[in-house]
Amino acid sequence: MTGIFGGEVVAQTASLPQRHVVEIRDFAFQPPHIVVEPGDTVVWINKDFVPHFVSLVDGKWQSNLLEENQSWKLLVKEAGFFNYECVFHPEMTGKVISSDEHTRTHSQH
Amino acid sequence: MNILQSFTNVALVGTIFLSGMVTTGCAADSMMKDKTMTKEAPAFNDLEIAHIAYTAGALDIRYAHLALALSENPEVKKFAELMIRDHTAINNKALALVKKLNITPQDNAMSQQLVKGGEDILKEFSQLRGNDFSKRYAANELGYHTLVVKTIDETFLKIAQNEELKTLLRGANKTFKVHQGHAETMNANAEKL
Repeated sequence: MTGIFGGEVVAQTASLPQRHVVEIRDFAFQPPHIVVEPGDTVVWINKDFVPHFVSLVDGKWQSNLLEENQSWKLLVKEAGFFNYECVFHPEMTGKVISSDEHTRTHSQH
Repeated sequence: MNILQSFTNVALVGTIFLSGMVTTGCAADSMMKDKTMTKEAPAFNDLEIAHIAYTAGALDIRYAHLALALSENPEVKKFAELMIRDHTAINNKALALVKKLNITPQDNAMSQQLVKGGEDILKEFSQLRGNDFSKRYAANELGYHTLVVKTIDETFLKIAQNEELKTLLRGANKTFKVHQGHAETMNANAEKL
């Protein structure tokens, strides 16, 4: 949508669930930090040769064993900061930041 | 000290798993560098590199199985499980490439030295128990991964010809570098036992 001054209109719309993808590549989560909202889904896809196993540091949730090109998805139900790691290679860490906002800003062109 | 001597000194143990694989085909012809084409022949051709890499991975899996049987140290056991899981995945990847290219990796002096030297260390391992085993296993794993990483980076990746083999070696070496880091930590902890 274009405003009367030709600028971009930024509308506040009701939040729709989003799908976020985290690639596991070269022994790292990419991106390492993602911001989501409750109701969103996060998908981890393993692009390494070797298996990985995604787990919240406190063990509250864990993936399946992820072989190469396998994926696992998590429905984020609550707000909070969630630090996770690969159980097999604990130097691999990531964070899911789930905000409690009920609207998401969308740019409309 | 050449690569062969280095590997022998680390005394790795392994078993040749590749005999009886698919027969040599056209892909093998393009994969194997003709040594007569260069004034100085490379130390190994691609088929030999594939054989060495697989053999080295297989022997580390054997070490790991022994560690699970003989060690009671949780860190050592966890490391051994990691070695079995990761090296199996990489060797399966190598087997898939072998099948795709319809090639037969070549046995060679280094692979034979790996097996021969490894049998000695396997015997040594089997006589050890408890902390003695954990210390020896940890030290050997650190030496093994340090040498493997160096050999792939400084030799195999420089002389390998086939791009798919090089991609596999690069990917595998990323894993081995992670293992090297784990081994450094495990070895440092084992020395305190």
